[in-house]
Amino acid sequence: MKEYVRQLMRRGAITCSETTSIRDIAQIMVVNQVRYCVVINNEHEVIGIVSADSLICTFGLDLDETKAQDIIVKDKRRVFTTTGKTPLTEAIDIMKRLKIGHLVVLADHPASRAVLGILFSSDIVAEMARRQEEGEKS
Amino acid sequence: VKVCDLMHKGVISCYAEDTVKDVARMMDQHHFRSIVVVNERGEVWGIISFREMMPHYSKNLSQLTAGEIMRPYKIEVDPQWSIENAIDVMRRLRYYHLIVVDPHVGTKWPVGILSSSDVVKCMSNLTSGRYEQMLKIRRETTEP
Repeated sequence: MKEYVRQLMRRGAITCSETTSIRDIAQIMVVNQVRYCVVINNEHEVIGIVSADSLICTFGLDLDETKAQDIIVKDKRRVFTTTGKTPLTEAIDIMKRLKIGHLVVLADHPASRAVLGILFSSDIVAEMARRQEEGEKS
Repeated sequence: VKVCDLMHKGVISCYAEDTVKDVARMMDQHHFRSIVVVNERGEVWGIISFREMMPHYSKNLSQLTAGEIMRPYKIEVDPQWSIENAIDVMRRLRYYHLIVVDPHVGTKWPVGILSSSDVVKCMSNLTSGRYEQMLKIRRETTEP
């Protein structure tokens, strides 16, 4: 049974900068078939995350002029992030409380803001299905 | 742009008596983010997305039914609605999967789903032909 975030997370992340236009972010999402984009600064530190759900608020605006910094969910208090050593149940609690479908996984060092990977709710559900089937077989 | 232009035609559905284990298997196999729960007449009853599934991570899924964990769903989205109208509903109610129902029959039969990623696809301005092209370019550049 998988118990820690690092066992279920996907390594690596799709990133963009604060000045990327919304049109470009939408294209990044469609071409890479993802529903999120992690926003990083020049030092490759995580500033926040843009999801497909927050992107739809800009429908109708000038998408080439609107930038990521206008809609970004800023993460100053490290609420949208977790580390690889966090127990999975704790991470699920955070996702449930904040009503989000993915958590950014940072490196374990407390001062580090570098992105290590992403924990998806889809992987959690896939793991649930897999575990039930294994239980049936045994 | 209308809802029917962007929505996913057809839905994956289950009954309220089905076990959550079956729902998890359906989500995993079909790569669907939301399953529509219907009653015996085929009308929309509720919706199960990853958000409803996750809190039951460490439980025995074969003892839970879809009816127990589903989120009741009462909005009726018409395929002829403008996309702005649908986005307004999404933002206000924080429902990022809208079930589109057939307006011509009396019952609420689901005909499709409009999700936030369908709207993002429209915003990206990539037509299907160009999208295929970009995937091809990407495949050529990533493969040796």
